[in-house]
Amino acid sequence: MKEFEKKLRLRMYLGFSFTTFMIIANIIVLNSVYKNIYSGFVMGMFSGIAAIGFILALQARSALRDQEKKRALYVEENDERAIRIGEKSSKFTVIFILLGNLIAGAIVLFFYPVIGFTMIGISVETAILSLASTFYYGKKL
Amino acid sequence: METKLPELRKAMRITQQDLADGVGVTRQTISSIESGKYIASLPLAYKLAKYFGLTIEEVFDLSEEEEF
Repeated sequence: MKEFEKKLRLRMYLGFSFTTFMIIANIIVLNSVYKNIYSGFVMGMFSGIAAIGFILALQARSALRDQEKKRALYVEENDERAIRIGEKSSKFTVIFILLGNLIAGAIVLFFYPVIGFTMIGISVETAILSLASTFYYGKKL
Repeated sequence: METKLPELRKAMRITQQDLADGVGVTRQTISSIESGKYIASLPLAYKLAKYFGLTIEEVFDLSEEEEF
């Protein structure tokens, strides 16, 4: 439980730092001379990230103050069935993202080569990362 | 894999939530183990057996599992 407390404390600091950083980024975008039609979208993205960071930080802070909440959160995050579900679903998700991106990239390549190559590049990078992590965990476990 | 968890729980008059709290998992995990959808890991099987003061073999029956 001590390790989990450390994790929660780190999560709280990171969450609050991220929120602050995103608010500052929003202020910079708002006052930027390069403001264009996409600025609103960028600010919306930053606000979304800030909100997620803030919620995670608040959750961690509340768990750190209440023993029962901390235990409940620990069980929720370390439940072996939930971990197994996550492992299984992420494996399929990666495969489908990879295939979808490859097919979309190949189609887009005909019309917009730069975008098509970028998408194929992302697919290759995802495949390399997936293979590298499989190799790493194959050695580690 | 067959399990005697429902019978053991009933005998002790405890709910799935009580058992889940006792071994540090969610109620859904206990429910899945009881219905045979999920096979508990060795550490969890040990914790469950220990909770009832029994051995793993007394709580879980592996005789119907396919042998290689």
